[in-house]
Amino acid sequence: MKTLLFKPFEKYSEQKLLITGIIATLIGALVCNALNCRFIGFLKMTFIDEAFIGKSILDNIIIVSCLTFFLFLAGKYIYKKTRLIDIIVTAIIAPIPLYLLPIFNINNTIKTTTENILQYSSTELAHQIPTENIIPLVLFGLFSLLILIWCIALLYNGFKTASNTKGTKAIVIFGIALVLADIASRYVIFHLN
Amino acid sequence: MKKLPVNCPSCESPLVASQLSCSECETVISGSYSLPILLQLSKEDQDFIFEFILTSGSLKKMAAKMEKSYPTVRNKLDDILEKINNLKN
Repeated sequence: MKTLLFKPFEKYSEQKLLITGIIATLIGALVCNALNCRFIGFLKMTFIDEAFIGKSILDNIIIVSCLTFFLFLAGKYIYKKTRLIDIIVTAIIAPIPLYLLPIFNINNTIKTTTENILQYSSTELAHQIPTENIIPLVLFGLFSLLILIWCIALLYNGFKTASNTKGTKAIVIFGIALVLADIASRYVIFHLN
Repeated sequence: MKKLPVNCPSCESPLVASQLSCSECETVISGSYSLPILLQLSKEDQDFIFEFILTSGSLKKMAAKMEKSYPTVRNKLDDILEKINNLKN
């Protein structure tokens, strides 16, 4: 189970992972569309009034492409034998846990709660925020944190397998590639989608 | 099958073969012979190399046989190559 959840790249062939990743990405886009969410960067999700399936799919394609581009460059720098297909499956499999996050927005729960809280944004009103608005946001925050850790663990394990990384230098290069991929995906989504 | 010790249990230095004997005529040869590099690898690494030869050097076939992904098997081979290079130097 641990291998399946955290290190599928060590066991399963690239064909199986690629097919699983493509199906999950499409399901993720459908979930985002149904629950009015958008990933406007690898690590940034926002709730919107009305989502469009085409945009949701394009968001996911842009994120996977940015991750692939920067992780492949980093992988090639560390290890010359890094294959593009192994990086693609890493980039397409690792964001799968993120597609669980929109579930919290069933009936626009998180969006409505956030908007309610924003009414108390001034310092004088902050202590009046109703508890029923805070609890869903705290739960969502904690769940998001766990999902984020899972997602980055998957990404690192995939990158490690693809590029045979060892040592601190490789971790630093992975971190830089991840930050660049996040910035690039936000920029491209903002300007193109 | 008994595991061939390759390092001294006391000081961790590589062991050498100092005595060889014929099981038929009981001739004994004494000397100081270094162990071949492949014998200095771990049992797991030796088994991997054995499988590698049996699959005619096809990492894809090995990956399928070992139920591992291709990059995992390739990384293992690279790690063994690194160990062999370290032993050679």
